[in-house]
Amino acid sequence: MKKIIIYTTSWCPWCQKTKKFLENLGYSYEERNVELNPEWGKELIEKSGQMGVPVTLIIDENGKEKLVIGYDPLSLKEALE
Amino acid sequence: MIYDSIIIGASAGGISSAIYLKRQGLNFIMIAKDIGGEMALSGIVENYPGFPRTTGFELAEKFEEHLKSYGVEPIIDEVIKVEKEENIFKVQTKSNNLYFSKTLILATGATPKKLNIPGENEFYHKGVSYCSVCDMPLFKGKTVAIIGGGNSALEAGIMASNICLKAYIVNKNPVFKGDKILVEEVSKKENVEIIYNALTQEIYGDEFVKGIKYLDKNTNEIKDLKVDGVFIHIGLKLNSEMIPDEWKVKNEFGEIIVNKFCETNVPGFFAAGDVTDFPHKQIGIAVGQGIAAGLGVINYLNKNKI
Repeated sequence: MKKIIIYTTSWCPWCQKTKKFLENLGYSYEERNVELNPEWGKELIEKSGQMGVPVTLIIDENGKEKLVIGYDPLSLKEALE
Repeated sequence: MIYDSIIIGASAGGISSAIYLKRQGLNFIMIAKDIGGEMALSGIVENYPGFPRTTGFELAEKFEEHLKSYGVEPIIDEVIKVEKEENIFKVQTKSNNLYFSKTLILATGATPKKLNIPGENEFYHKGVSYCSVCDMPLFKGKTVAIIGGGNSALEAGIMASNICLKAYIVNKNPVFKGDKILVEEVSKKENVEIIYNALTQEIYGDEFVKGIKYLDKNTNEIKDLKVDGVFIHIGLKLNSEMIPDEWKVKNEFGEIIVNKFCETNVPGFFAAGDVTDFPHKQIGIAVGQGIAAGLGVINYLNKNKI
């Protein structure tokens, strides 16, 4: 089963949209709000090489990681296939 | 197939039109890049009647729920071209689909305007952001520049004062266009410095933003600010590029000129919400215009028997 991690901030509407999108497709995810833990902020920048949220990290059964930057339903669907 | 109507946009205006068309039993589709549009990004909303305090996101969710309760599912795509041949509108999308209709409602709203200066695209999400509520928390303890002179820039300044070490508000004008109450609040913040008459010229950095250069219009000198982030809040750009200039329905700002019934000079073409030339860009006004456009379409189809 794929593991999904979403990097967010508290007031970011695109983060809420991304979470809702995944919920509607029946996926569960782990949320890492970078405001609550600065380590997650560093992790976000290291993984994605940028400073915007949301970022969705999808880790497949073999540990292979895919990143989707921003609220991007088409890329999310593709990355989850 | 020729639809009775095509609604472009699925935010406050488009959804309001759709509810009225559906209740009238018209055969129509909605095409939108996203449901909720700019409304979903509005932050706290306290001026929409019936909802004393909500967020743009929550309100957009309610609108979507209402739309879907009528079984209307917008097509997620981007309209790139619109034409009118005889009495039929031809709508082409980015995914290369063509749709035909007897009437058209444009409710595409607006998106944040760009500065169009060197470094802006290169450092997008590498320090450059158009969404303070999203990305400001990533600049905790850092220094940021906020570009703009309206309410959004002032609100970003207040937000930055609570999160960042230091914030500059870089305003190209000698005064703020925003609300007096916000200007007063920002002026009290010790870690917020306002720079007036400053025209931002360039955003620079290496992997991430390191600073900006601006023209000081008082001295005509180029000055440098060392910052880690740049938040751009310089207003909105109307999403009306797909409407042909030869229709002569756009004003100098790209707004669609409508009358009080939300009709344009092109028969069968209506517009609603922020994309129109109505001076106030408000969710409540977009709703009212969406309803007027929806009723206008119904009236037009009845009158013209097409």
